[in-house]
Amino acid sequence: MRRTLLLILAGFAVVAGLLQVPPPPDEVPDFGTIDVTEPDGAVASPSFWYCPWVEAGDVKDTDIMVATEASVDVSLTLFDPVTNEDPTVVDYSIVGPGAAGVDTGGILRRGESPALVEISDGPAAAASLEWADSLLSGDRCIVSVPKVWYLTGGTTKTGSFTELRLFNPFADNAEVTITAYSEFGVDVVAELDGLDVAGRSWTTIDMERYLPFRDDLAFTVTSTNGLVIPAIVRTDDRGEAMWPGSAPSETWDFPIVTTGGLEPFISVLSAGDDDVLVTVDILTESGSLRNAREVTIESSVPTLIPLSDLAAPPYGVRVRATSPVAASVIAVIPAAEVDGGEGEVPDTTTTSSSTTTTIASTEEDFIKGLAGTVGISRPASEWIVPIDTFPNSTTSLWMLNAGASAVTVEVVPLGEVEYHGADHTLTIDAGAILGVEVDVGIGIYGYHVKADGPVSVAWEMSGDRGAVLVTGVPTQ
Amino acid sequence: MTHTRQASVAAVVLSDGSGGLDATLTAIDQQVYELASVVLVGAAADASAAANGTGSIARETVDQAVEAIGTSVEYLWFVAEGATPRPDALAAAARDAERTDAGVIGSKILRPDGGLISVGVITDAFGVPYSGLDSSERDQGQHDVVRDVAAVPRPAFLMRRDLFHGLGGFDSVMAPRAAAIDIAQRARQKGARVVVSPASEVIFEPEAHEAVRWKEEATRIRAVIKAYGLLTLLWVLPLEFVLGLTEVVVSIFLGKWYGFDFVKAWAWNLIHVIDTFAVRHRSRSGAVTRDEELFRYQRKGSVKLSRLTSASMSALRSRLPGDDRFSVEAIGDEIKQPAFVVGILAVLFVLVAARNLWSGGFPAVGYTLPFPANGSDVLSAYAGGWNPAGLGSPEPLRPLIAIAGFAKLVTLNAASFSEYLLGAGAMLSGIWGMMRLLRTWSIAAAPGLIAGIVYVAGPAAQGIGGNTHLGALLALGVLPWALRFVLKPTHGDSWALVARFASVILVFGLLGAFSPLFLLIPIPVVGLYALIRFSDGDAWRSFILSLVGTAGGVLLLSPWIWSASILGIARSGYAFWHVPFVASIAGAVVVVAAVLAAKRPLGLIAGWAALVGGLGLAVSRSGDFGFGTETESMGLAALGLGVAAVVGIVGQSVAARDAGGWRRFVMGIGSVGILVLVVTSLTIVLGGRVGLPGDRFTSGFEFTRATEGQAEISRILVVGPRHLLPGDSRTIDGGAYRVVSAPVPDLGEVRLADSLEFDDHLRDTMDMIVTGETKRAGAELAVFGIRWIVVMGDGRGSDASEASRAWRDVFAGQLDLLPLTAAIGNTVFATDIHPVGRALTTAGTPWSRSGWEFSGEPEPGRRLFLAENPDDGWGPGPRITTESMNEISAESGEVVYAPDQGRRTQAVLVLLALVVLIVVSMWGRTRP
Repeated sequence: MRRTLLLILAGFAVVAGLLQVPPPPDEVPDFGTIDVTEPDGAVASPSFWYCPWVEAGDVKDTDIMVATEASVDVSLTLFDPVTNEDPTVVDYSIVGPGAAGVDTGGILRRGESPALVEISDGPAAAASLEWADSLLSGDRCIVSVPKVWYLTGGTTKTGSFTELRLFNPFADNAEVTITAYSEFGVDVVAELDGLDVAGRSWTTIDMERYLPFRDDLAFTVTSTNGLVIPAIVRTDDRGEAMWPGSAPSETWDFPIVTTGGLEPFISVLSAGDDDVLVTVDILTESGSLRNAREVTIESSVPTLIPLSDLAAPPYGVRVRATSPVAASVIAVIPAAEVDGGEGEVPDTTTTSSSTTTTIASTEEDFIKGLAGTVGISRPASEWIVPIDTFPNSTTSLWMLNAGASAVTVEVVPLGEVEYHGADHTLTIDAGAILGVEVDVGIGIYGYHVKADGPVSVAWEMSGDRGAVLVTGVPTQ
Repeated sequence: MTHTRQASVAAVVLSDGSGGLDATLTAIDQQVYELASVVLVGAAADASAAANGTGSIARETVDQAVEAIGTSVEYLWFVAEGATPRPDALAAAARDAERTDAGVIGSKILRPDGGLISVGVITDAFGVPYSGLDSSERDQGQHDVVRDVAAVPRPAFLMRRDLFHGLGGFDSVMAPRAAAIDIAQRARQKGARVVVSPASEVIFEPEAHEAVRWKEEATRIRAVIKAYGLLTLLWVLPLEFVLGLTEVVVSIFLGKWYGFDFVKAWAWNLIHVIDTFAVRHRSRSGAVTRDEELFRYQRKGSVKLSRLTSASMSALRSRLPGDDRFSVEAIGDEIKQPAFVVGILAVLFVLVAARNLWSGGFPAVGYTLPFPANGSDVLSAYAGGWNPAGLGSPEPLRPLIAIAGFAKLVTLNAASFSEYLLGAGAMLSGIWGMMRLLRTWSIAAAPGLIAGIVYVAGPAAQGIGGNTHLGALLALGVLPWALRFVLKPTHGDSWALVARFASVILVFGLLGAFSPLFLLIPIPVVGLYALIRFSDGDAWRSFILSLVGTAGGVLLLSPWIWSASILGIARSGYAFWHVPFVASIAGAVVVVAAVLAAKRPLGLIAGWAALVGGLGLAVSRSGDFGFGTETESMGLAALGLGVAAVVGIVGQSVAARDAGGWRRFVMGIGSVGILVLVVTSLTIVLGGRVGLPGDRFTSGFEFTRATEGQAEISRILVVGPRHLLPGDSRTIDGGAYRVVSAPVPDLGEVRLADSLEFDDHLRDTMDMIVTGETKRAGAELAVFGIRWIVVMGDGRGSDASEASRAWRDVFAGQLDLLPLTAAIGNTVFATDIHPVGRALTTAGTPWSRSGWEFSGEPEPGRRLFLAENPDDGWGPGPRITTESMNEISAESGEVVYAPDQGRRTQAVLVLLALVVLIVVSMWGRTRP
């Protein structure tokens, strides 16, 4: 009897044990830097800025501008194209608030030499600008390093060239997969799958070799192992433009899309599998034109949306989409300048215009240049904008207020010396843009923009060297 | 009597009171060779009495005797009490002495029935005598040749007086046989020949004159120490120790117990070590020969080993059925009385199951890490010293580390032998203990062996091995003994009871030292036993014993126990044993068969075992109640215990002669279950690591040795899935990390102490790294002495684990970390920062770590940054805390940690308590 009772009790114990639940699955690390495409921002701590498009040789020079709120030590590292050679490192300090520009041609001249800008404190930001007698090109540098990048605005149509520069500043080798999208959808290129980029080096891929005669090109760059910072470089016989990759977003602000008489387009790529309705709002200095253009874009097909017929320059753009898209602005020589007015606007898109604005015929001088930049996905109330100026070029800071009420902004120029121009306190009307022309030749290398509401900030430069569009950096 | 020209020999009769002195004196008196004098040496009264009427004189000591003899004689003839030399024995010895010019001349020793005992003695390198004769060999003159030998038999030998005097006589503390070998060795070192004269025959019965065994062993070791040079001693002594241990273990299976002799012999030498070396110095001064001269007269190999092998083979042959008896019945008979065969099988099983520990020690995986290199360092650290885990802590180390240190100490810090000894020893002890435990209920050795194997290697034990809790695995070897010590009936007087208590506390202390949670097993298990045998007074006495044992065992865990959180240990991790389907079915079949079909009282015992096993299973899967993996191991031990007990019961019942009918049928089904369990258990031999998984860290961190000197000054940051990290780990944003010493962390680093200031600093740094606030992780981590980052697991490709990939991405995005392609399996980054060191002077010079200490070139006027948690114990002072680490003086060239005196005192008290408990329990065992 007792043994039976014991056996039953043992059975209960076994059943109780068998009914227990297994442990939950292993916790997956939730690190902020992993697979998250955060927009670049200036943080109040040490930061590292990657500038893939630095070149200094017999023709080109590159300025690297750093603007900061705090006093900082800056370490500028210029990588060597020869593998395993130590990079060139230049250290300097900036008293904050302030800004400084460094001509890398004064440090070395060995052609392409992507840079790493290490700033000891913040908020601070860096930008780089390539220049030559007939060249202006550049954008803000990059601070966040996501695993997936979106790059839009490429083309390999006749007379135009697109390169992808993959910069790996880290010691670990990177393996990336580049997926190309064109008007034909996904353009499979086997050579671009599993591409190795050695640590502390970079590689530049000419897309004409793999994808010739594509009107529209966009890419995603996915790091399978390691990390890279990709940039797109687009050239034609009138100029060169380069801009970084971006994350997808449902909203993109472009505070200025017109510069140097160039004709602007928005290049859009859907990040999802479904068709996306993209709406373009035009914001001018006097007001906005909502729903100026609506475009339904297909998944995996980059789309170029013409803007020049929507308003007279200067104007900015807000792009809204029903699901996340990657977007960039490209400003090219007007078709009329190239071939006497034959249509530049591609007819691969379905567009519906809600305005009857016509392109104003212009009587301008010879236009040169090619400009492009990425948009701003999230307006902010405070911005750090590294900036550069050249004689015979006009530099303007542009602020876009897409909100419903007017915004007061304080614009503080930053430079190497204490006085570098007067502060401006300005008001931007709701749904408008506002430009501030930068004084040339007094050592301004940046702006601190502080607003009482969310704004988006960018700057443009145009002149006898060409034109450039550069996005500002929000302070986080 | 032959009258010599000059009587040149004096007889010295060595009386020890063992009997036969009259016969000896008579035989001496009948010698045909004239003696100058006869002196009796021994207890004054006996010697004087014997001397009366024989014309001989008596002295208390040999030295006094030699002095009384004077310098006129040329030879001294030493004759032991009870030896009866033939009348011409001395003449023959003297003749051969003159002829060979030998300094020491031995006689041929015969039994009264003509059997040969010795014709000269040769020894092995360890001083163990070897006659080379068969035990039944008779004297037919087959060995009659005068030859050089290593030593002469002690019953009778002739020695030049001047040589004896020059050597300082016998070593007075030595046992007779060892003394004879010792003086022969010393004589040879002085250039004298040592020969045997077969024509000199002496009758002797050795059995009647045996000295105490342990004293012979102890003084033999002393003779070895005196005889050899230091270089020879470096290998002879460790080997002697190992051989002694081997003899102890193997002899158990031959029905002998030499454990206490072994302990006493070495303890005696430890006590006499100063005196031994003083005597050694005197005996070796003026030596004209080297150790090689001694080796010439020694046999190769070990006499002890040969004897053990021979005895084992002989026993095996006697146990195996002969050709004419080869039948199931004959085998069955053997199984019913299988002490030896069972022992051999158990040893063979353990040898195979632990074979890889012999060469490589314990695998470095999970919570199992290699023992630290230096035993004394470890013991010092346990006794209030520094806890090296992570970034260090003054928190006490677990008692397991003290056992590891002790094992290292007694094996003279041999690389892996201590680990083999513990691993294989625990397994063997588990089998043996289970057999003894089952003996409580009269279960025979054969089913006991099967139960033991299922216990130490079955699914439950494999589960513990899979958890990599080394202490729990080793505690398996002690648990059945703990239960046996409390469950066996109490007999004897109150002194026996005291000895029993001492034994129980000792065993419980050992159990708790291996795994503290295992101390929680005996009380409920024995309590249940008492409940089901409610009217059995012995059972309740056992329960009281288990209470006392647990309380005493807990106290023996001082100083660790006072700062330990048992609940914290019990709740660490998630207890969930994945039940193997087939084995669980087999186990259930055995349990049901045992409970239903075993006859009283075994059926009741089976029910108790089933309940213990069932509760163990429930505990082993109690993670949802907040219990952790050590609790799981504890539950598995109880499960293993219960299953093994029912296996033994079924094995016993199925072989019982009176088992019949339905019981036999049910037991037959149970036997099938046993077969499955045994087959499952045998799979443990495949790994050869007593059930532990394969090595992960020794090979994984091998790359740190690539550049000489870097490992000793650096740490490794190990990240990845928690279950792939060594020991405990900390977590940040869901990612597990921990810091270990290079090249391979040792057992002292398994358990992380509570987080302190420097640990918090590391956590902040890790936070900066994982959130991307810094891209210079190398520089940030260099502060902690971290040179390498190892991402455990597959961090790339489609099979990569999420955790490994996430960590890899974090460090791949750093600017001052270089990927190392030489590392296999894991992703490794090395810092690009210089210098890196756990102890860096202000000049940037790293000091290297050896064991628990740091040392380097003294730097007068400079300071040293020690990357350990700040603690006032670190010195030399003045010590200050700088950036959460210790800043101390670099002037002396070494870093020291002053131990916590309170904890050290506790540890010493525990040591004293252990000695007292051992003495009391041994006394209780050996008392008549």
